[in-house]
Amino acid sequence: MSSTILQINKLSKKYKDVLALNNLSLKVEKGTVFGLLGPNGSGKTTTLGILLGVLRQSAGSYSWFGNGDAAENRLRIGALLETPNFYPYLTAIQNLKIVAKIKKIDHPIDRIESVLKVVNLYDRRNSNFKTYSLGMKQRLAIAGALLNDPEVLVLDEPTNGLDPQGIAEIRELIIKISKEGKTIIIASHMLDEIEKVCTHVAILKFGNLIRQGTIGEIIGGDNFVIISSSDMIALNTAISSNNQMEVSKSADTEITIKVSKEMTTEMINQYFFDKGVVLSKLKSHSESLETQFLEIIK
Amino acid sequence: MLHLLGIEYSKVKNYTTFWVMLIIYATLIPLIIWGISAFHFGQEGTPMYWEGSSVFKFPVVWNGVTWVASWFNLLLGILIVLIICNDFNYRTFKQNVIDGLSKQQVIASKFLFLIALAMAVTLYTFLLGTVFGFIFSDGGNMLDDIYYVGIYFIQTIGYFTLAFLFSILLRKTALSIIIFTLAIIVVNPLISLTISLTIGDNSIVQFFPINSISELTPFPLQWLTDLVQSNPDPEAQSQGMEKVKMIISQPIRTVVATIYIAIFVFLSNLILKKRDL
Repeated sequence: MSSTILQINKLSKKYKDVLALNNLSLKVEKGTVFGLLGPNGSGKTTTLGILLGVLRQSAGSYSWFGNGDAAENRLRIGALLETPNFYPYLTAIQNLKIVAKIKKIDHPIDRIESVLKVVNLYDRRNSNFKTYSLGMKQRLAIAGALLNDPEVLVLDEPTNGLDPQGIAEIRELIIKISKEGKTIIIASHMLDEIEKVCTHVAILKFGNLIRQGTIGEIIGGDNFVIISSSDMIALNTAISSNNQMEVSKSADTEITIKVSKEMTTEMINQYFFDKGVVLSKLKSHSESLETQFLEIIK
Repeated sequence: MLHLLGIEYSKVKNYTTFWVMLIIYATLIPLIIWGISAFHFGQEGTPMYWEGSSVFKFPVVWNGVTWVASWFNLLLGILIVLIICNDFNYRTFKQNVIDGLSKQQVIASKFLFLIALAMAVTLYTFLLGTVFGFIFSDGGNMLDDIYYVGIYFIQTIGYFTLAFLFSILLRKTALSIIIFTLAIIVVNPLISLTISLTIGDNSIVQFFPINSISELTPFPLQWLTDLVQSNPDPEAQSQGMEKVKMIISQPIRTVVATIYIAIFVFLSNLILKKRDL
């Protein structure tokens, strides 16, 4: 049984003469990892800003936990929006104490120390926020979002400023938290990240919802194969005479073809060999969210 | 309410600038009182004789101490600008909302803190008044002019709400401090002086927002009243008293100042409601 965590109805946001968000309707079910994708300026952060109470929508409505847009809802949410926002003259612990007070967490010190350990900031817990690197600031913001052990985690570009190791750690953390049955909403343009962790995806462009669905529905079932041969003309002829193949991208030295799911690389190799074309390169390439994304937002 | 005040207190608890400015405030006032009390002019025994310590005798001390304390309202106002603009600069107003406060609670918590600070500094001036009153006089009729302490509270609230209005209007620390300060020490005096000289008296300018608030705690005029009353010519005495009364029409000024405070609060709320944080 699934229950709805978040319901968005025809949400719009207009800044003077720019329509940042146009009539967005979405539904996020409990336990999903929901990816909000889109190029810069597509309305991801605007959407999250409205959902988190810092921006007022021009039209439409949303409801968390079936309880409308009340501020108390946010006590059950952990969120990171745009930049890490803390008092520079306070330490990690002092900053998180303020968050704990707002979240009404009892005995906050234990909880603060445990989340600082999760994001690897425990050793620097008594340093002022202003002495942190960008990556450390981002990790403190994630610690702040985790502080109340939230039912829903909302993360806007969570891997911003992190090094590859930090990115991997956050990815592991997101997967671990989602396994606890929690709902996670991530906005990002780091598509390989989204692909690795998300179950559902919505794609925005210029404030419009272009597509949404499960990650499988978005990526689709087609396989891609990169092939090359010393005789490129014969290769092209062989491709065009097979109705199960379609040229996706053509370059001087190699061709990317889209083939049906049933065709294995062995069958492809055999087919060209039978046509008298010897392949010098044959590389299976399953379509990534990135290629699909670039296709969709064209 | 205590929850919101607790959040605000956590923000300043380890904010050095806040405490340094309060310490400056708390140290300078008694020092200045000490300095004034050592001052005197005129020939002892004549009506023109005036000694500084007379201002700090019960019950005039309540007027004297709040008059000195009011010199530093600008400093406290700047402190308010600082802590409000910090929350804009660090985007922590936003973060407080994201973490679970409503926009109204965020505004209310700042107002509560502003009132709490005004109460603290008022209490401090009350303590100073008590101490200096007992140093320079005995405790007789000590509570006669105690209302000055209440008026000082209204005055600090006046400065704080004006600082609040400037801060949320401009949001930038340096800009808000400069404009707030210039408005009080340059623009308002200049306009007031020009209008006063043009029409010949201060009947209009005394009702200007900054004037009606800053003149809530005027220079202690008991001495002047005594001097006027010592004039043997009854006509000159009554004319003199008219003038003195005009300067110290305290109840009207208190009402006017309170109306301005209400306007500042109303405007601040209006701006915050219309804008995104």
